[in-house]
Amino acid sequence: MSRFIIVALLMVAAAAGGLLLQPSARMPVLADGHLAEMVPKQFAGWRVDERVAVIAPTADVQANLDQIYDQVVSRGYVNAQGKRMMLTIAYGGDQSDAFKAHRQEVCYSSQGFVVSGLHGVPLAVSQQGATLPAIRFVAAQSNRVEPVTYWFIMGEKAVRSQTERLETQIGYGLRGYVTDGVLVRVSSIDPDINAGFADQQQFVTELLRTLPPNVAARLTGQSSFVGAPA
Amino acid sequence: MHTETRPVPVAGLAVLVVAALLVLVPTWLRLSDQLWHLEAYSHAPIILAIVAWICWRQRHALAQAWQSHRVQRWESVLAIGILVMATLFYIIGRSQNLPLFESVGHWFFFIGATLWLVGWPGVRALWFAYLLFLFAVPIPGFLIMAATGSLKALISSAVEQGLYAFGYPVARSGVVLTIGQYQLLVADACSGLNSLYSLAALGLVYVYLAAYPQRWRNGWLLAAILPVAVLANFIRVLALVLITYHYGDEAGQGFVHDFAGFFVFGVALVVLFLIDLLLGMIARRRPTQAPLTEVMV
Repeated sequence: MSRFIIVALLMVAAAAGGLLLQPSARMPVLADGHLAEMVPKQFAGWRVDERVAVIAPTADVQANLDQIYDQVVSRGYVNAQGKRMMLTIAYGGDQSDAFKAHRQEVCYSSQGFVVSGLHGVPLAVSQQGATLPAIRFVAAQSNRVEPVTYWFIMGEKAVRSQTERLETQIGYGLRGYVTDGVLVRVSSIDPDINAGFADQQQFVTELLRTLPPNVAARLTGQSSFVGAPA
Repeated sequence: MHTETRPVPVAGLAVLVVAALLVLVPTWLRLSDQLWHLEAYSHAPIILAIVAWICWRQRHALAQAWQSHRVQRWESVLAIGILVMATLFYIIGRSQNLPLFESVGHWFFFIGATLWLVGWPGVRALWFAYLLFLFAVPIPGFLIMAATGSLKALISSAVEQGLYAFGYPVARSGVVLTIGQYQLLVADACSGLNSLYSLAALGLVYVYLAAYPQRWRNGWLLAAILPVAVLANFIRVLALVLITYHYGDEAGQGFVHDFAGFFVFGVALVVLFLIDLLLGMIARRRPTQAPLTEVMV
């Protein structure tokens, strides 16, 4: 009989712990909710071009994305040489359930692209030589070749793998914070893959230099409001 | 060695059920809000109901274990370890919104409690319930994605070749099918695998309940589950493409949203049943005892 009581007590403890340890503090909202206004429509020789189509998710995926992200900026840019660059920044104030947020290579392949050359890369994000762990791959569909660079920030930290996400989320969560997340993706249509990646690197550096410093810091995981979990 | 019967621990069981509900209900409330209405996990409540029914079905075996087996020290130590792990998994999963961890916590509670209260014979009696319970655990999306890519490619290419052979104006690029004026994406990265997952669970229940005396018959049925599920999905995509082509986009979408899930299940079950009938015929042809000489009257 006592065993039944002990098992029951463990279950009660689990239920109570699960309730009491739920985080409730929110992280400061990226760009105070004005991300679209803050991302410049013109900078360093790039200007927004409405005719550049950014890969939009299919309707069924979109419904899912609306649950994940609160603010999405999705634009095509063009420069004097006629180069085209696509930019997507997506912010979600609640990224709990670390398994949810989107991996772009999956997004592309479920849109019918063939994804190849997936690899991690340290991406330079400032003139001072700071880098963050980004991911690159090439998406191809019939004759469209699209090199893609993207990264994901949770709270104040760039995360790459699922395990890192999980650790970060639990680390913040146990300290009472609901983890937020921001995805930054740049891509261009360029059969010369290496040239495409170089252009993207330049585009990112210029963009971050033009943005208000606090927004740039949030987008690169260099801001500090909680003290990132070690 | 004592032989008097132990009374059934009604009060203990009642306390245990109440405590278990404290752990289960919050999870289920959230899942029914978040996941269970998605096609991906809509089978979970059914699976859980079947798990409960299996426990009920095995009540005699459990009672038998309760009467005749004294829980050993090693069983206790192992069980307490499992229960502590269950508690940790559940607390982390529940508080940090990780349904996968929560469900793993449930699973450990389930096994740990059985092991500690009735010992190893009890765990043996419920083995199938544990196996099936795993099918109600939400698989992380990234695993689904990883597993479905190739499946989708396989199905879309098979559909293309099939239709092409019948003279339809069809072309394919990756998982995008073009037929006549329509472009169809073999979409929702998961649908194929989701139904595979629930069909696999269903197939397992079928084999478990059939429990044929012939090992080979059970084995063949088990081996048939996955191919049948893939075939059912193939037929679904084929049907969708044909409906869209002949009756337009709206009819196709209607089919997807209202009916396709049931359709896949129906097809798969019928095929599995036919395979079983076939195996049954073979089984009758291969009698286990020497045949009696028939006497014509």
